[in-house]
Amino acid sequence: MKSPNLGFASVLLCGAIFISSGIALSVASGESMVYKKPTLEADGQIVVFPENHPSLANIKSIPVTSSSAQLAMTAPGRVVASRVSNGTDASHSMIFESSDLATVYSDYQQASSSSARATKNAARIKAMFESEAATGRDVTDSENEVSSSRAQLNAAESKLRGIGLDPKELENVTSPTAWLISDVPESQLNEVEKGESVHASFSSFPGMNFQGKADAIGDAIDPVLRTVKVRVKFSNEKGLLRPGMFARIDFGEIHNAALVIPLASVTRTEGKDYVFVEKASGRFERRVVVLLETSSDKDAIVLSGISDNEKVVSKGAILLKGLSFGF
Amino acid sequence: MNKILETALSKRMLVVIISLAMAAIGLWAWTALQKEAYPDVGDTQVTVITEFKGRAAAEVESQVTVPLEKVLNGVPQVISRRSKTIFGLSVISLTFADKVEDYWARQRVMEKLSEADLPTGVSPGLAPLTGPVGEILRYMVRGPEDKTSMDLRTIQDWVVTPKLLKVPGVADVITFGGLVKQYHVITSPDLLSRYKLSIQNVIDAIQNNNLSTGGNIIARGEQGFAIRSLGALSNPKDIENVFVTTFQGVPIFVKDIGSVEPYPMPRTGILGISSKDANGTFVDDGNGVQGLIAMRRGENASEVVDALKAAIKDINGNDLKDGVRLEVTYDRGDLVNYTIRTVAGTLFEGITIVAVILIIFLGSFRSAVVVATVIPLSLLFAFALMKATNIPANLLSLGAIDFGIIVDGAVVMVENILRHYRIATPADREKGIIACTLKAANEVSKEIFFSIAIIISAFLPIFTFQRVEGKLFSPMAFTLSFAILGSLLLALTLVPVLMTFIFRKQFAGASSQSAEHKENKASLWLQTSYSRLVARTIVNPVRTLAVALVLVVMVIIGGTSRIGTEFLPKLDEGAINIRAFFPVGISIQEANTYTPIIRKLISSHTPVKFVVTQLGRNEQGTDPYNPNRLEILVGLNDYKTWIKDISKDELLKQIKSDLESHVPGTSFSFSQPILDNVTEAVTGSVADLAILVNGKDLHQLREYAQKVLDVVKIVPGAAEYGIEQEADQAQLVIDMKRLEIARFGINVNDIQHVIEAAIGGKPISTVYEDEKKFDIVVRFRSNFRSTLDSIRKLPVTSSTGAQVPLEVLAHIDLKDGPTLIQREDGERQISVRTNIEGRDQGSFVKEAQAKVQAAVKLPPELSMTWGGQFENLTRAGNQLAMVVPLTILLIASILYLLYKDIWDVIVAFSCIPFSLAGGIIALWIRGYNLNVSAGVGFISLFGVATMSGVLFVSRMNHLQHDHPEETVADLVPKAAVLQLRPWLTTVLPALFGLIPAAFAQGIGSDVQRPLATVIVGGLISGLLLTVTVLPSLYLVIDRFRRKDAHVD
Repeated sequence: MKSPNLGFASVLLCGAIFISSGIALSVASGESMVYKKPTLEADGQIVVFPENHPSLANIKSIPVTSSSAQLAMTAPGRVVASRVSNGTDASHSMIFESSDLATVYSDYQQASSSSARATKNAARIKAMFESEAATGRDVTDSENEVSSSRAQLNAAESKLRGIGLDPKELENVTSPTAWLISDVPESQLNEVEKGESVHASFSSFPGMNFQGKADAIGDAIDPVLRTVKVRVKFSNEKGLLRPGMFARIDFGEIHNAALVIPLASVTRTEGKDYVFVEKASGRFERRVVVLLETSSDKDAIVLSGISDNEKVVSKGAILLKGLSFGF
Repeated sequence: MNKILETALSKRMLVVIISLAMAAIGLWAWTALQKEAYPDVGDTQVTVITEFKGRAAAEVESQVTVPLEKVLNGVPQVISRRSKTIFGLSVISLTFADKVEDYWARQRVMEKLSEADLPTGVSPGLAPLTGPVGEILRYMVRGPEDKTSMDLRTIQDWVVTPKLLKVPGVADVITFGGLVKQYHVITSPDLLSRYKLSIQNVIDAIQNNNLSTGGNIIARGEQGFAIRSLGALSNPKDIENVFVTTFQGVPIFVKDIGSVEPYPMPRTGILGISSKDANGTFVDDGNGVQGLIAMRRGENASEVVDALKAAIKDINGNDLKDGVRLEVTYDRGDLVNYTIRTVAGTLFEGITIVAVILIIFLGSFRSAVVVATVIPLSLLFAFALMKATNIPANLLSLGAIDFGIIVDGAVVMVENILRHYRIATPADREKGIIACTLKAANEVSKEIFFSIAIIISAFLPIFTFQRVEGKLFSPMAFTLSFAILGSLLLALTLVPVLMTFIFRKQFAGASSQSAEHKENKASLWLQTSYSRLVARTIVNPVRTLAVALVLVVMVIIGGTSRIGTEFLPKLDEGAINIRAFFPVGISIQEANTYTPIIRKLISSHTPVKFVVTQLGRNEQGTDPYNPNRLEILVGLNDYKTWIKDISKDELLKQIKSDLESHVPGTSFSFSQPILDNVTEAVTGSVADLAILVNGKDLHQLREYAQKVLDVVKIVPGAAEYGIEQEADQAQLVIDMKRLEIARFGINVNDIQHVIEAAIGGKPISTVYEDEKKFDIVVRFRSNFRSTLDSIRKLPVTSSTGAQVPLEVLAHIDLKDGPTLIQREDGERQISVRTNIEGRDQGSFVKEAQAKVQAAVKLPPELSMTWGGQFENLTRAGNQLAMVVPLTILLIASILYLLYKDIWDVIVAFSCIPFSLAGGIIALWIRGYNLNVSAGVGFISLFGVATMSGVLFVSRMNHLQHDHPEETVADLVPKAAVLQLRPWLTTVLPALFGLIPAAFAQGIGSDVQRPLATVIVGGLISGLLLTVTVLPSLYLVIDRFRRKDAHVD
């Protein structure tokens, strides 16, 4: 019969056309640069990019070496006293941040001069006594005078010291100077060395940096605030610094053999801090790190988790975190 | 029926006049009809937005979201309750049942809101009444170099937005990007402590010095003067001069304790745009201000877009100066125009093809014209009815109209009338043309009526569609039904009338024979070859029938197992929407370093016209997104300029590959702007499949969600999978040490105020500059609040005036906490989402469900549901499974009404499986999945296919009635040959009329293609099998009938 054969032939033809067009379509589907995806190993701990992968342009790492790191450790403070010259070298005046303080100082000066006078008087009376020009009573009186004036001097001096100022220093300094008292938290007292050089920035002069010396460290800790007073001396040639000004003093933390990394390399996930270490080109390993608490907002010190001379990812770390953790 | 024909033919002029009047009404209705490109397929939805500034997600959830959900539980007619809580914001969405009216729903929600027990100062509001298809226009606010981002944003907020809100049809203007201006009073703890002040003192001072009020009226003589007492702060100088306190006899003002500066609110969202300048090179703006217009639900998009463009022109000309101008980047008009172009093209091609086929097969140009007039007239009739019933005309459904189906009734009528004209004896000619026409018409009127009744009732399932698919397809069903109804009326009235007018001359004279001479040769050849074929097939009818049955059954079974299922075909809206998620925890500034890279990568492709990136969320709170979420809108050039060089799918692949390879650790998913919004509104997630785990404990939920994800991600076809809610992120938690606080005589509230105001930047008052108002914020200088350490050292004033560092008073730690809490129906929820690529939705979900069921056993306190796009598929599938059998039953009943004989019904019915087979093969060849669109195609197919069977059975009945002496075996071939031309002239126009729609590629054609493919394939197989197998089938059935008769 003609029809079935014809039918069969046409079915075959249709099938052939269909199959060949299917093949043609799949081959002809356009060229596009398809990059292989980065792969994960060890359950996400290692991220591997194929060679020359475009993502690597957005990931940068820096080598980390242990060195002496100088980080900022800042504490607030204010200028309590300054010595200004009155035009000539010889005369000067002391300015204090408050009238109370000024009173304390003048009390001290008075006490100081009375004590000196009393001592001189006592010596003279003694000499007179030896020449039998004065009575024993006079001697006793003058000696009493000396002790009481000295007691007053001591009291005044301790008041000054209590505020943090050293009266001897105040008197002996010759050039214009400013003294500043800073409250350093007890946990950071370690970082302050007597005599160390410090930087300060003042709220009155934003952008300007002043250099001073940490003269003395207080003996007692404020029981409430848990801070220790530290006195810092600044040279005040230009007379910019005035008592009452607020400042932030950077005592600088020095860590020896510290591994310093930029904070941008750290990502915090599920309660832990992580960094990524570049083991080889395009191969990144995730590490848990323990950081030391500092007051810096740019760098961090790593206590454990990475070793010397490893390369840590400093840009694009959060993208690696997305790949590594999956979110 | 006969009555109608008689009346029509007796009052011919009246019929013509009525038809013309109908046409006029139809034309008017078309102009008055609401036309849209895309129907608003969103459900009725009400969204409650509540801001609780500065609070972390967990606090917002417990203090705002949960109390609100409690009271909103009482709102009636709600089918789903979802909420998302993020930092400072709670968004609750209630979806209402189908057909619930928008304003009614909003009213019910408002009633309940007032009952909620919320923290002071927190007031919930409703999101504006706009639907997911409401984003109809976007513009950028551009300015010269000297205008800062803050300036542009201020202009947008205070000059542009109020004007645009006045345009009718606009529900909201949503602004993204730019810096919101505030006035900051910037102080520091040192300055405050110098004067023994606390932050609260400063706040109180400003709040107490900012009031304008009025008194009564003072009379003087015959005039009265209203009293205005002006004390409100109206510029920064006023703020600086606010008196705070006296210190040692000296008054201290705000300017003594700090500086007052215009400063931006901390940004939650950054917008960037890359667009072409005048020369065609791309210019990148990383800090743009965009306004997005949301249209009110129910308005007409084209009208509103036009009104907006006029308003923008007006603003550019009159209200903006110094080089500031608005530039429109995207508007819905493009999509509408594209769709109109595609649909108009398809319709035009369809009409032309139908006309040509009619001419060929009717063999008479004049009768083809008569049939062709039915097309516009029935369309106009449909428009008139649509206007009367308020059904909008959406272009998607208009594109699916098959004119071949519409003309079927008229064709049958004309064909029969023509045949009678040709075989009319001179005696008949004496009786007159009207009598002849009447006789011819009566022969087929009943069949036409019932066929059309069947076609319309076959649409019944479509009318029962709900929600998205209902809004998408029921306008189409209505349009088609009305048009077919119109064609029925016309076939029974106007068509016979026109035939009598046109053929009057021919009929009267004997010249009828000459005109038809030419076609006689061709049709003669056709008829003779066909009668030979029929004779051969009925030699052994059982064998023919068996072969056909085996083929059909094989195809149906083979096809259904090979063809996948999905909800809707992929729709192309002419643009691309990309959602990108950076790794969790990323800051907005860091994420923003990658957006220029992304914009550059995308704009380097030729078809791209512009790229807009939206990072994070806007300030208004309509979108609860975190800073790691990036939404990218890619506008494309006119398709004509590039679609030949690269297909849209290929373009998407390339862009995706570029993005994924340059920005690792980030997920990208591609979609369409409208579809995204619709899916998200309907199912709560943009993903193809979302597996929802519900419970109480977020950690437990997350643990099980991860287990589910591990199973799903290895199912073949899974792409862009993940857990939708982010993992907990590290948050700085300040936990009060109450004992220490009490020792210093400080109140917890004082510390909270310091934190709120100083670190958090809470607005405490307002400055009114002309008609603009800006917040006033009191805060510390940045270095006091920008690092962990500075927050630890933040000084708080004790009752004795001592400055106590915050770390003495509170535990300050980085702790993990949730950043996005999603809830549904009162329970917390974590969703595992995945898209499905390279595979159909139905089979993927089945496999995933089986695997998850086996691998993950949930504890009793957790529950799991499956949703996403897939929800729609199940719903539609269930609906169809229920309604389609009912429809088949209905069709069978109608057939029974017609024939009153069960065997005839079976014969007519057999055309359905004949066409079913062809539809399935067509889907398989084209690689389409079975979706709602194809389903609608099948439904239309059933109705049309039965027409062939009906025609044959009726013909057989007529022949048996007229020639009772001949046997069935003799009559069957005669009937078949007689029916050949009607078969061809009903099926071929329908078939060819949809070929343009089946192969259309333009925008707006995606919904029509599967539909048309099914109908074309089904009609082909239906025709082939009807022509070859139906006669045999009739013979075989006849034996059963006789057996029955014998038994009786």
